[in-house]
Amino acid sequence: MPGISWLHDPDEACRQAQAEGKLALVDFFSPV
Amino acid sequence: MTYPQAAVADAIGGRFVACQINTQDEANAELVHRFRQTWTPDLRVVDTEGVELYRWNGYLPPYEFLAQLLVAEAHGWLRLGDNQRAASGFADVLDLHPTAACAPEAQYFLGVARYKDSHEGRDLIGAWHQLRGRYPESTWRVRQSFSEQ
Repeated sequence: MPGISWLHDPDEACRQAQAEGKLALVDFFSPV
Repeated sequence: MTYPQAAVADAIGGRFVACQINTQDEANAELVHRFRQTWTPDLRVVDTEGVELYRWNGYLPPYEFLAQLLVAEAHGWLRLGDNQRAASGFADVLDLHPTAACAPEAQYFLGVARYKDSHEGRDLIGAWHQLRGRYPESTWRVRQSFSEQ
C-alpha cells in the first residue's frame, strides 16, 4: 500500500515506536 | 478504500509506527490469540510494552477514520500520563473534524485531559459545558449528565 510503511511484527513496532517517540498502531485485517 | 487516501496515509505514517497483521494467515495465529483478536477491521494503539491503550472495530471512511485516529492517539497519550499532548490531540479533533462521530468523545476527554493537567475543576466543567451545547444528543453528554444536576 503506497504511503504507509507497514511492519508485520507488533513487538518490533513497539520497539521502533519507543525509539521514535510515537505510539504503535496495530491493524488486524482480513483480506477481502 | 481508506488507506490509499493521502491524508490517511500521512496521518498514520506521521503519527504512528504502523503494523499490519493478516488474521487469515496461519502464521499469525499466535498473535491473533495473544491479542484476543476476534473481528476485523480491528485497530489498536499499543504502548512500548504492547499494552493496549485504545481500540476500535469496523470500517470508517477517510473523514471518520482520520478523526478516530486522532482520538485514538490522544487516548494513548492520556493513558500514558502526557496530559498536555492528549489535550492537544483532542482539541485537534474538534478543530479539524467537528462533525465526526467521535467528536463528542474528543470533547468529553478534552475536559478530562485538561483537568488532569491543571487540577482545575473549571477545565473539566468548561469542556463538558461545551459538550452539552455542541453535542446534546451524544452518549458522551449522558456520561457527564450528573454534572448538569
